[in-house]
Amino acid sequence: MALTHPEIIRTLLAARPRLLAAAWVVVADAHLAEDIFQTVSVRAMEPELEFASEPALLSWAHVVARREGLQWLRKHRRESVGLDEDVLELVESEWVLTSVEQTSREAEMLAECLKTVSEASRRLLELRYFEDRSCGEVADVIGCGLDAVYQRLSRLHRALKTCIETRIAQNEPQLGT
Amino acid sequence: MKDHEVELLLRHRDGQADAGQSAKVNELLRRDPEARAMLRSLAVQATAMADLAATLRIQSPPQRPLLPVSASRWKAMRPWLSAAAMVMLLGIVIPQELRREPAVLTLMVVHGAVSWTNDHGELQSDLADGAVLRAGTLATENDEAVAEARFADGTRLMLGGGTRLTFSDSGQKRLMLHEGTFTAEVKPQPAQRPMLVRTTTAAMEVLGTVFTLGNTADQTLLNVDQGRVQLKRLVDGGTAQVTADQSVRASIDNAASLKVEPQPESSFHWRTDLTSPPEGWKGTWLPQDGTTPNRMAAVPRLVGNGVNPSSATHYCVMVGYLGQRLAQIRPESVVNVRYRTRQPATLRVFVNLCVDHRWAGNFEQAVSSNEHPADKDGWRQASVRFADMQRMIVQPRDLPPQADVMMMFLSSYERAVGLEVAEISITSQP
Repeated sequence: MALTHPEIIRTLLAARPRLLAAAWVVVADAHLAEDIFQTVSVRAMEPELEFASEPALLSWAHVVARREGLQWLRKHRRESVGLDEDVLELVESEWVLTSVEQTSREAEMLAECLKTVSEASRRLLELRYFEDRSCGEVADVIGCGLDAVYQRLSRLHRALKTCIETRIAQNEPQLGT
Repeated sequence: MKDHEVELLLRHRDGQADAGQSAKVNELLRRDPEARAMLRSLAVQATAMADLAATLRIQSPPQRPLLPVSASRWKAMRPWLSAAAMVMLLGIVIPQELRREPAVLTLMVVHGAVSWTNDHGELQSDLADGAVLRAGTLATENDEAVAEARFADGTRLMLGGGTRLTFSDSGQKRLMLHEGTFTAEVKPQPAQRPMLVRTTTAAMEVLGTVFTLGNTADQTLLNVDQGRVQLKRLVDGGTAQVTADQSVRASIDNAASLKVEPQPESSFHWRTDLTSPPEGWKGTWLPQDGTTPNRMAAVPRLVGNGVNPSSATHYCVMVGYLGQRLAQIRPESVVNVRYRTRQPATLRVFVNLCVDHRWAGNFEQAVSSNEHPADKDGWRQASVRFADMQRMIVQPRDLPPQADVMMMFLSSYERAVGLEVAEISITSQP
C-alpha cells in the first residue's frame, strides 16, 4: 500500500538533515540546499506520485534533489562548484547504506562538538557559516591571508568530524551489554 | 586523507578551484572512500550550522556564544533559544542608542561611499561590513559604490551604484526604491505578509523570488530571474505577472503597453556603435556629422561621496541601464573602445560585475592615449583584456571565471579632456 501524505511528510522531515546534506554536496550552498529540500517535499505530494515504502521515497528524494541541484548549477553557470555525476552517485550510494538517523545524530553531535572548539575557531565558523561570508571576506575580517583561512577551516572540519564520530561511538550501545 | 586535500576540497566547494584542481577533486573522490566520507561530513557540518544560524537568528555573533546548552537538550529548547537570542540581541549586542527600533538589515558587503539615514535625521556615512541598520534609507552615493545587505530571514539585497532604497520590516518587509537599482534574493515570505516594493511608477508584491529592479523618475524596469512577481503600474492600476526570465517596464505613460517580455539574452559578444541615443547611459549623445560618427561625449561624474576630501570629478561615458545585464565576460574577454580626446590623457576603463545576482567586484585598467595611434580624425582604439584589469578592492579576491557585466565606463580623471566615444564592444577570444 502506498505511503499516505502524512507518512510522506513524516519521512521527509525525519530525513531532512540527510537530504539537506545531499543537496549541499551537489550545490555547495546551505540556503540553496534548503530550497531544494522544499522543492523535493512539494513534488513528493504530486498526485501522480506513489511511494511503496520509505526507502523508495528516500531514494526518489535523493535523485530529485541531485537533479534539481545540477539543473540550478547549469542555469546559473556554477558548474565549477559541481562534481562529476559519477562522483555524486558514488557519494550518494554510500550514504544510503547508512540510516537517515545516523545523519541526524551527526548533526546533533556537531552541536556538542562546537562547544569544545577554541574562541578563535568559533569566530571563524561563525563568520563562515553563521554569517555566510566567503573565505575571502573572513580573511579580511580576522586579518589573515586567504590560505590561512582555508588551512584553519580544513583542520577544524577534520577535528569536528573526528569529534562527531567519537561521540556517536560513545553513545552507541556496547556489544555484550 | 591529507590536510591539503581537505583544503582543496573546501576551495572547490567555494568555487575557488581552477579546472585542473576541480579534476583533481573529482579524481580524489573517485578513488578515496575517506575523501567521500570527509565530503559527507562537510555537508552535514555546513548545513547543520546554517540551520542553527537560521534558528538562532544570528545577527552579531562575536558577543554571543555558539551553543549555550548541551546538545541533548537542544531540540526541546529550540523555541526558548530563539527567544533568548532575540533578548540578547536587543539587550546586549545592540548598543543602547539602537534600542528604540529593532535592527532590520545587516550589511554584508560595503564598497565605496555608502550611507544610511532615517526619518529622525540620523546619518551614518562610515558604514562597514557587518554594520546593523535600523529601518531607514540606504544609499550608494556614486556609480562605483556597492552595498549588499541581509534581512534576518536570509533575504538579500544588492544595491548597485547611485541607488537610494528605503527599507523597513515590522513583520512585513517594505522597500521603496527612489532611484537606482537593486537585486533581491527573497526567501519565502508568509502568504499574508508578502514583501512590498514600491518605486515612483510601480508597486510589487513578492513572496519568494530573485529579481532585479531599476528605477528612474519616470519608469521602472523589473527583471525576474526566479519565481514570480506581481507588478502594478501606478499610473493606471494595470497589473502584470512576471515570471522567471521575463521582464516588464512600467512607466508614467499609460498609453504604453504593460508588456511582459523575455529578458534579453546576454552573451560574450556585445557591441554598440551608438546609432541612436542609448537609453539611460551617461554622456551626451551626438549624431553623425559628415565623417564624424555617432558618439557620446563625456559628462562629469562624482567620485567619492561629496563630503570626503578625496572626492573628485571625473568625466565619463557610462554604459549600463537599470540593472540589466549588458554582456557576459570571462578572463580572456576584451573590452574595446573607439575614442578620441582633445589632448593626450590617461583614461580609466571600468567594469562592474555580478555573479549569480551578487556583486563580483569592480575592475579597472588605466590606459594612456599615447599608446593608441590616432587616425586622421583623431579616433583611437583601446583594447583591454579582462584578465589584465585590476580589482579595485581586496575582496572578493579572485577573478571570476565568468560574470555578468552590469555597468562599464570610460573616463578621464580630474581633467576634462574632451573625451568622446564612438564604439564600445566586448569580445571573447576562446
